[in-house]
Amino acid sequence: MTAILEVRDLSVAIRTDHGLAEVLDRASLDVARGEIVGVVGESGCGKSTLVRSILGVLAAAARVTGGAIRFDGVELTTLDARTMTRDIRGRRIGFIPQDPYLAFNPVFRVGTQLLEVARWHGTGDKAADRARLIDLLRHVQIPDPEGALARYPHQFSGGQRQRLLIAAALLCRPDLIVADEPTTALDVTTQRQIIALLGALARETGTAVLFVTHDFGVVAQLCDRVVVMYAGQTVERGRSVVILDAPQHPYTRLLLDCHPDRAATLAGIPGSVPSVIGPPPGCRFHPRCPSAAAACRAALPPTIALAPDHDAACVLFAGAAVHGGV
Amino acid sequence: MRLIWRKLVRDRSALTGLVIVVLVLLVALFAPHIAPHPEDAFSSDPLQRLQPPGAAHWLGTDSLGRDILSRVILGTRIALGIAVSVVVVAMAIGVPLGLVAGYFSGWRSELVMRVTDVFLAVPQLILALALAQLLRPSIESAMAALTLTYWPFFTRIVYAETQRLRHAVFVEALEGLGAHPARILFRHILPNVASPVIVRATIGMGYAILTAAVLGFLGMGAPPPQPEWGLMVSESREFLPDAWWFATFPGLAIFLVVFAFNLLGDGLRDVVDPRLRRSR
Amino acid sequence: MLLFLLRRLLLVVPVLFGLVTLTFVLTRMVPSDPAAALAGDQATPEQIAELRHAYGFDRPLPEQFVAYLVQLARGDLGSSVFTRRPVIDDLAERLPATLELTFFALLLSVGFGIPLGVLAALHHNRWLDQALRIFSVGGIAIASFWLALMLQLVFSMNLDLLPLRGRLSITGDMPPDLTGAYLIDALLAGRLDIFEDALVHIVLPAATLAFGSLATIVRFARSGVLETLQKDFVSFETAIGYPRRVIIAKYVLRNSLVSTVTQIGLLFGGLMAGAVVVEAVFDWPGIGGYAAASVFTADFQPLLGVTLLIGAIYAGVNILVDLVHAWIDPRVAEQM
Repeated sequence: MTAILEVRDLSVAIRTDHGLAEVLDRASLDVARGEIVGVVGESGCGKSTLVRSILGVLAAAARVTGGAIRFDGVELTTLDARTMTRDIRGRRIGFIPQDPYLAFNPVFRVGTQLLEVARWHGTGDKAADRARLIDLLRHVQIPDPEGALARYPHQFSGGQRQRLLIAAALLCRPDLIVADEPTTALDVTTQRQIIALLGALARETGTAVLFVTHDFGVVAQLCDRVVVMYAGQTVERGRSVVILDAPQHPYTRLLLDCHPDRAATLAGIPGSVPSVIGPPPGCRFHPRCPSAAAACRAALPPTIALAPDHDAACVLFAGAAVHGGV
Repeated sequence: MRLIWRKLVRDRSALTGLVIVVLVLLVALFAPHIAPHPEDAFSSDPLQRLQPPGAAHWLGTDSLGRDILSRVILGTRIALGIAVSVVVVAMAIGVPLGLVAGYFSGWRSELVMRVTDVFLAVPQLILALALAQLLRPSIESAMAALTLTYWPFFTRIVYAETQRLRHAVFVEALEGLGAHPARILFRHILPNVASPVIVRATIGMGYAILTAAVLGFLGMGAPPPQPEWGLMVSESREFLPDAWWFATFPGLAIFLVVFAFNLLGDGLRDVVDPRLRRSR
Repeated sequence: MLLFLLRRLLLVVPVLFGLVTLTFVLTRMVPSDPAAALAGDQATPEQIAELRHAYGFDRPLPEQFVAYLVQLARGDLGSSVFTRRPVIDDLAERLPATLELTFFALLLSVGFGIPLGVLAALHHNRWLDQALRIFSVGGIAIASFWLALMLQLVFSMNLDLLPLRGRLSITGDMPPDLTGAYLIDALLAGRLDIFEDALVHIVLPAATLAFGSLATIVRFARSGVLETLQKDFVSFETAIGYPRRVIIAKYVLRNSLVSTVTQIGLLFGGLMAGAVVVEAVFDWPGIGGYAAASVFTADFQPLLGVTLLIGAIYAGVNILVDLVHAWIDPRVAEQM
């Protein structure tokens, strides 16, 4: 399977009142066609920034300072806004935002907003697009889809709004859907439903999904592969079953050890996430890492392939490298 | 306090407003000493009538030969005097009413707010005119009219703030401790509503000066021969277009002073209550 | 929506009643002797006493109040000492002129104000924005009577481009009396010459009147757009591929207009008040000029009549504005 999305050494910095925040530091990941990849990390690890960089909707004070984002061969970081809007957004990359309460424009009907995407990125046949939207609404289990289109956002619950957003993302048959923690604002039961729904739809349509979350449980439920991030750096990547079962990077191991499902006690990882303004040099986890060495501070650790589909950015594995075995 | 000052000073337009306001205050205070011809408040010199701006009279003279620059300077006293009285009295009426209405619920509160609504049901100028007409035209009647039309603005914002604070934790704690309502209102709630009130008062100064000038123009304010700005513009009408300076300069004075108060008021609003902040 | 309208109307009734009470209080309690005030300076004590009895000023106050209410209900607003006609007739004759002027001014303020405010927001912090910001603060600091005179000075007296006063030239024809608005009536009658005449006459007064509201609308439209642009749904709409111009023209505009629309009610009140001054300076035959004239002649009934009329119109406009607001933002109707 060829990669539909390749992020290579992406670095993003934001100018703030307190200094330059290096939010992403040479982050890398791949998403193959039709596969569901999770991006996991604590708050502030740069996951949202990564998503925004892909879509080109970074804040005004943010800049891509290095690296590349290749979508189906097209380099996104150098693409101008107009081409991005016309060709990529909506049509080839769909987006599901984090907060279903704030994503909708309160004074327009839901139908107007959802069909606006189709208007610019759809087939051109308004009736066909509308029919497809209604069909999708039925798929996401919105009761009375025809009537729903005529209603306003505040007349729907959070979970329903999120379903509407999923339908909107799928409307123009994108190759990739980027979802930024779309279930965070919802209660646990609804979360499960939404995630199951998204997974089923993605598989059915063969759409790739890049799913950002802070919850490993979601990864377990939904994702084929997972990318673990820490303070703007990519730390470990691989198939979810493998990583969940036998994490290799020190951070991933500590993180999973703390997970309520696995931990005996409610301990956390000692120390705290570093500020991205003047972050630690080299591997940003080294101040808190139990296995830290001098090399960790010197430079960004190399990404070492531990298995055909599993790599970690840590000097610990430098020796054990590339012969196909851990 | 110092923080407010520092933030205010960084805002250039607010600073400009402040500087001009201070200058105007100084002019008003020392008016008789600054004006080149202070006697021109009331005396006239027909030989000098309608002189264009020149060396002897920088802003020209009016129809009675009086130096316009001096009269404009002297008029500053009248304008500021009216504005300060109006705003102070309107605050004295409006703020307590707003506190009471916001704190107590029930018919008292409703009554106060309905009365406020009634006073706000007519545009301020119309009501002020009606009031001023019923009293004899004078500075005092203009002041009374303006005060009676402005107090509702204070009541409304104080009411909104008090209502909001009414359910704040610290208020409920005080009530739980058995503090008397008057004490709660004046020692604890009032300081919190001070900021929007001060903003409103500053803008009110601009409003009072402008509306007093309109009343003066229509003959409902200070009677001649007072050097009131609106009155001066009114007197100038029949001598247009030739004596253009007669109409222009008093009006410019009005503009300058009101503009300064507006700038200052806006700046205060941005500094003092970021919630009310209109995106800069 | 209908329910919303009904509830809104119900709220207005006590306020209008309060207004009537206020004017009553003003007429009876403020002049020390209302009868003497009405009779004028030349009246003899007998005439005053007669007047007092005729008007019922010697009856107890509550009785007077009821009589006043009855009088109002009948449409009797008293008579003008100056014109010697019932106030209600004077008002009816003059109202169309003021309405035409006020609406034209509103049209100018909104028609120029909203685009300028939006432009200022889209060019945030660049020179156009700075200039418009100064304008929006300064524009409300200019006394309208002064602006009126300055405009007359420049355009009429010096440049001779526009007429000095009035609604039509003395020598020209009058349009048929259809709506009372000369501009509309002239068009309806197909008389472009009258239309042009009316147009050049309305330009200066309307521009003067509109100036302050224009500044306010620019201010609110600008801040409305700036605030809306920061909302999450804007970045979401960008992310899912709405073209920028569609986002601005359709989605942002509607949201930002909410704050502007709610201002229009207040502005209309300000326009009517401003009309008093503008009509006085330009000799515009409307209710504003009527009020200004009665101020000079110490004629009480007309000014009070104007007060009540404007209060009623103002209340009506505010209801209308609330309805539009509810239409634009459907959450409002449900909140009430």
